Amino acid sequence: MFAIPKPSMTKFSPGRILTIGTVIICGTIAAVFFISYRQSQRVQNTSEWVNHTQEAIQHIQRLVMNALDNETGARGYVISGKDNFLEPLKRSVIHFDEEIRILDSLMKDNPEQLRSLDSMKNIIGRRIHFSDSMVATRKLEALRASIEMVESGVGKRYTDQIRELGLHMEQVEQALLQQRKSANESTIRELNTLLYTLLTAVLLLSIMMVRRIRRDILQREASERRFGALLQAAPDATIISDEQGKIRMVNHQAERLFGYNQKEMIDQPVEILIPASLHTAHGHHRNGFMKKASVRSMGAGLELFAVKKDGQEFPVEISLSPIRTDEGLMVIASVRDISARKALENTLRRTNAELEAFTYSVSHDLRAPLRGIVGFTAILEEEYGDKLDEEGRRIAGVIKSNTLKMGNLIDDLLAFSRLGRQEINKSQVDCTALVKEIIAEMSKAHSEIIIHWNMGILPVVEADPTTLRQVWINLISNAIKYSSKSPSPEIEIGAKLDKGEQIFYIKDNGVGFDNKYRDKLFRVFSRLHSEEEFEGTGVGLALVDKIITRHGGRVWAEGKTGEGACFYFTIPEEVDSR
Amino acid sequence: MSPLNTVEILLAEDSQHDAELAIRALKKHNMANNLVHVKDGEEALDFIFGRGKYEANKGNLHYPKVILLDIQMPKVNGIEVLQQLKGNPLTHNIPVVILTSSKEHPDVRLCYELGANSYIVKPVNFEGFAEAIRNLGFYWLLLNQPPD
Repeated sequence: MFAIPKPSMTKFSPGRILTIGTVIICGTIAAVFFISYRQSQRVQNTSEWVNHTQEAIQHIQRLVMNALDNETGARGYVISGKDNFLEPLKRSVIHFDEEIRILDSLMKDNPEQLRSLDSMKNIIGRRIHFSDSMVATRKLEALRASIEMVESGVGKRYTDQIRELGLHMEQVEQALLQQRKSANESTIRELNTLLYTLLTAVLLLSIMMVRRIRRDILQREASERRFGALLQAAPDATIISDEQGKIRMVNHQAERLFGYNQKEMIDQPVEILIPASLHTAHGHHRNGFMKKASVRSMGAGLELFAVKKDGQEFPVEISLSPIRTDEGLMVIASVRDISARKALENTLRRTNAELEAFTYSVSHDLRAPLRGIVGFTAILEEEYGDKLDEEGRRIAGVIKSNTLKMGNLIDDLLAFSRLGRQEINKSQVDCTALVKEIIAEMSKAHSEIIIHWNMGILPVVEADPTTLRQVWINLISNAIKYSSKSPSPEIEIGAKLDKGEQIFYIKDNGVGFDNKYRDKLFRVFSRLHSEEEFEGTGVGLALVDKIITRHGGRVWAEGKTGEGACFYFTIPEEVDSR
Repeated sequence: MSPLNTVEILLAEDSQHDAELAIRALKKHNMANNLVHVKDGEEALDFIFGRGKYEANKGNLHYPKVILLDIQMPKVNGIEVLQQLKGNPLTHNIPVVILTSSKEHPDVRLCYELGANSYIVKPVNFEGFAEAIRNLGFYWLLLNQPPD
C-alpha cells in the first residue's frame, strides 16, 4: 500500500521531519561526546596538577630536611671532631644541588616560586658556607671558636630561614593547586550543565518526533483506508499500476471482471490483462503516457481488448488518470466491459446497413414505374396528341408533372439520407466567391424574376465545400422562391460576429411565415406553404439543418407573415472533425 | 429480328417498359435497326457466346458494336455479365454501357472498376432518357471504331 500525499496537510512531510530530527540528534550526540572528552581532559589535568604539587612539596620538604642534615652534620663535627660527621655534610651539599635543579624545572613557569627559589638558593649558599666555615675552624683545632660559632645561632637562623621559606613555598604551591582544582571543577560543572541541557533537549525532541511520526502514520493509515474504500466503491474495475507497469492495487470489480484474485494480480505486469498480440504496442503506449501523464481515455477511437484469466478476450473502454504518490507516478485505470454495448453497436450498424440498402432499393424500385408513367405519357402526347382534345392533353400534362414531382421527392430523399453517411472533408471556403457564383447561376435560371441583391463581404470558413455549397443553394433558392411574388424582391446576404461566433444570414422581403411555426421549418417534409402556392418537397431546409449540424453549427429562422424571413446559421471555427 | 451478323446494339433489360422506351428513343434517331433485346443476364451471355437458344449461331458469331446493360436483372445480373465479358479476351473490347436508376448506386463504381465504358442514369424524365440514349448510341455506333 502507498499513501497519496495530502497537499493541504502540513508544510513538513514525515520524511522531512525524520531527516531534520536525525540531523539534530546526531549533532547533539557529537556535542555530548566532545563535552565528555573535554571533561575527562579537565579531570586528567587536575590530577596532573595534584601530582605536580605533591612532587614540588616533596622536594621542598627534602630541601628543608637537607638543611637540617647540613646543620646537624656541621654541629656534630664541631662537637665530636669525628670525621664520620663530615660524610652527611658532604652528601647534603650534593642533595641541595639535586633538589634545587629539580625544583627549578618544576617551577620554571611560575615566576613567584622561582623568586622564592632564588632566595632559597641564596640562603642555602650561606648555610653551606657557614657550615664549611665551622668545619674549617674546628679543623684548625680552634674548638672554642667553632663552638662559639654554633652558639652564635647564625647557622640555626639560616636553617630556620630555609624552613620558613620552604613552608611558604609549600603554601604557595598548595594555593596554586587549590586554584587550579577549583577552576577545573567549575569548568566541569559548567560542562555538566551543558551536557544535561543537551541530553534533555534531545530527549524532548525525540519524544516530539515520535509523537509526530505516530500521528502521521495514523493519518496515513486512515487515508489508506479511505482510499481503499474509495477504490472498492468505484463502479468500474480499477487497476493501479506503477511506472514500470506492475499492478499495485486492484478492486473487487477488477477481480470479478478478469477472474483473477487480488494476490494473483498484485506485482504482476499489467500485460497479463492484455491480449498477447497487443503487448508490444501497449508497452510503447505506456511509456508515452508516463512521459506526458494526463487524465484521458485510452486509445481514443481504437478498439481496445482485454483478456480474462481463462483467456477469453473482451472489448473494453479504459480511462487513465495519473497520480503522484510518495512511491512515484502511478496510473489509475478504470476498465469497463463494453461487450454489451459493442453487440448493440453491431446491431445498430447492421440495422443502418439494412436501412441503407432499403433506401436504395426503394429509390430504384419507385423510380422504375415512374419512368414508365412519364415515358408512356410522353409517347401518348407525342404520337396520339392529335386524337386527344384539350382537356385530354391537359390531363396528360398533369400526370407527367405529378410523376416528375414524385421523382424529385425521391431524389431529395435520397440526397438527404446520403448526407447522413457522407464524409465531411473540411477546407478553406471563401463564402463571398461561393455565394456570388451561386447568385449568378440562379439569376440565369430565374431570369424572369428581377431581384435586388444586397450582399456584404463574407468570411472564409473551415467547411466541407460540397455540402456548404448545398446549404447556400438551398437557402438562396428558398429566398428567391418565397420573394418571387413580391412587387420588388430584395435579398440581403451577410455575416456578423456575435459573442465570438460567426453568424451568416440571408434575408428576403417575401411572404415570410408565422414565427410560431419556425421550429417546423427544418423538419423533413414539413412545409408552411401549400404546394399550389410554392412548389417544393420540404426537404431543402431539413438538408440545410443536417449539414450545418454536421459542421457543429446551428441554424434558425425568424419571420413574419407577409413581411419576409431571415435565415441564420453558424459555422464554428474549430470543430473536432471526429 | 434483324440478321444476327449485322447486330449493332445488344440491349439487356428485364423491364419490358424500360426496354420499350429505350428502343423507341433509339428508333426515333434511326439507331434501332439492328437491335437485339434480351431479358436477363443469362440470355445476354447465351447470345454473345452462342449458347442455349442461340446455339445455332455458334459457328457464325458476330459481336455487337455496343451493349446496353441493365445492372439489376434476374438470374445473372449485369455485373456478372460485365465480369464475364471483360474477363474474356474475345469480348473484352466490346463497349459496355451500364443502365442504372441512380448515379449514386455503389454498383456504378464497381462497374467502372470492372471495365464498363460508360453509364446512363435512367431518369424519370423521358425526354432526358431519350437524349442520353441518343448521345451514347451515336457516340458508340458512329464515332467509336472498335478494334478489329
